[in-house]
Amino acid sequence: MKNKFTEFAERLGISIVEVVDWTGYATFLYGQAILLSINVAKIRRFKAMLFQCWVTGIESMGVTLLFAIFSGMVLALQTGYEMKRFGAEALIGALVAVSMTREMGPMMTAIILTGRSGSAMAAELGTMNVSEEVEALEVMSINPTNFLVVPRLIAMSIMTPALTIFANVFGILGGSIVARYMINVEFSVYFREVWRFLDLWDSSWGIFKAWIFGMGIATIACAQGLRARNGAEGVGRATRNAVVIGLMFVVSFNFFLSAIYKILEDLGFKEWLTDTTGIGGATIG
Amino acid sequence: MSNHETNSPHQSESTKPTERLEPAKVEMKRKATTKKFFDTVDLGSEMIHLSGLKKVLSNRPILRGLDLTVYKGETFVIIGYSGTGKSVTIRHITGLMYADEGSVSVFGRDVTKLPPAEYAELRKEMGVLFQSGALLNWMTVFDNVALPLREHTKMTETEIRERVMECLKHVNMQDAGHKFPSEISGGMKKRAGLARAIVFQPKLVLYDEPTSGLDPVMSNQVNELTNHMRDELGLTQVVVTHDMNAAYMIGNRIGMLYNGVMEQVGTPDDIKNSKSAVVQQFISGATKGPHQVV
Repeated sequence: MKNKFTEFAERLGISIVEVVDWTGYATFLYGQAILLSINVAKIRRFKAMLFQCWVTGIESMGVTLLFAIFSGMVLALQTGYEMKRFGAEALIGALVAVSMTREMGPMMTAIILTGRSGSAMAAELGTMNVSEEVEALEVMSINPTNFLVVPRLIAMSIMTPALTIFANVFGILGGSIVARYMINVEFSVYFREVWRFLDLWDSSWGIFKAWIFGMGIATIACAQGLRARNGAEGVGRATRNAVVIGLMFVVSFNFFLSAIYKILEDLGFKEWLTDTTGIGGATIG
Repeated sequence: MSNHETNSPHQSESTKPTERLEPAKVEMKRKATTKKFFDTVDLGSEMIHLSGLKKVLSNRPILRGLDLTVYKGETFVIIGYSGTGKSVTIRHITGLMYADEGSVSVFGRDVTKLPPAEYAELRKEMGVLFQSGALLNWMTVFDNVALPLREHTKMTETEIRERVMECLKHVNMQDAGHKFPSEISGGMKKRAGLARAIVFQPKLVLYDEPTSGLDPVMSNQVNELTNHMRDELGLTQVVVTHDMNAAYMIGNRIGMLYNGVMEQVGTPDDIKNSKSAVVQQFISGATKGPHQVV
């Protein structure tokens, strides 16, 4: 007869095997989708991709921009009063711009897309899976990865960086409203500081992070959906997992990618890029 | 007008005579088609051959050495209790599942050894009607039926339209092409699924519970359609069903799957007069017998 410890060890073992199995599947799915992405040139797949761009990106625009504006406003509000005590309120623009472009813009966009588009993708593919539609594609010799995953993956990898750029801009604009009407910093001063502290490579790294997040969210959502089993309950679980794993992915990869950038910065990568291309770099040191 | 013409699926639902539901007529037609089949079939032309097929799922043996042969031009019906592996058998034929042991030969090729790309090519010769129809919900019926052609051929839209309308006509749905799956009944979904299954002009069509969840009239309509596919298009068909009326009506041969092997294979009359207690319990629906109902 099993004792409680054996039961616990058994469950733990099964959970670890399931996690490794699913991670392997998601990695395989991602690799397969990347290899098949070339097919996006086929007009029908291109149309499917455009449709996904609309669903995942354009339809998420409103909520993302609203979040971005209020995030910029909160950022300006929380830091503005403190900076004012030290007479440094003129630098609010710099702080909001750097925070938005490096961290908040990409991360906030990714979180919104995980909740909105990732969950929808998992639910959609999960429902298709439990109602035999994915199997129907297979027996018609239509590769489900090519047909279902590739358009979503490409759409998310385009729309997440695109939305991030908009989020950055609207976050900075939101901050300017608080800076002007609550902290009494003139627009001209605010935007001068924004411009002075904005760094092309910092902003680009933020957009690069958004690109990684977009592909990760799509892969996780599709992998969860395509592995959904047991009817409505399974679809619900897949949707929940897509959001939870997606958020964990975004938060953890945000740290790792930021750390990598800091290491590259310490190694003089940014200066090398600026010297090599002749563009970018902060205007003040 | 011949019996077949009277029962043509091309007739609109409103004009279909009620007499076609009479069991005696159905029986007469079945006997005629079965006799015709056995008079003409070349028993050497195997379309499907399963040999010693074994499959274990969740530590439970489902198939325990299944042997089965389906000949060209016949409708083979697989009957059996729930969970005995009927759908698993179909999934092995379509390559959605791989055998633990044994061989699966389709069109004379051992598919257990085929690389996925070649299997994908072979699948174009098969059509599958899923239990729910498995239509893609965001596409109209027309686009669902056109999907395999758009994916695998370089046909023009005009050619695709012609072929799709021809298939929709076979299933009496030529006026429903513009509708979405959510706008049509369960029976229409199955008929649309059948139109999609035959659009690529396959040699073999597999049906997974084609009449489940349908009312008797709609079930009969699907059964007639199945016979139409065999008689008019010359398709070889494998049908998985619980519905004994359907099995008798469409099957040239019926095989009862029990305990992972074929308990009995024979003509509908052989099955009706079976001496096997398991078969008799199943076809009579008796709750008491060798099969314990849990």
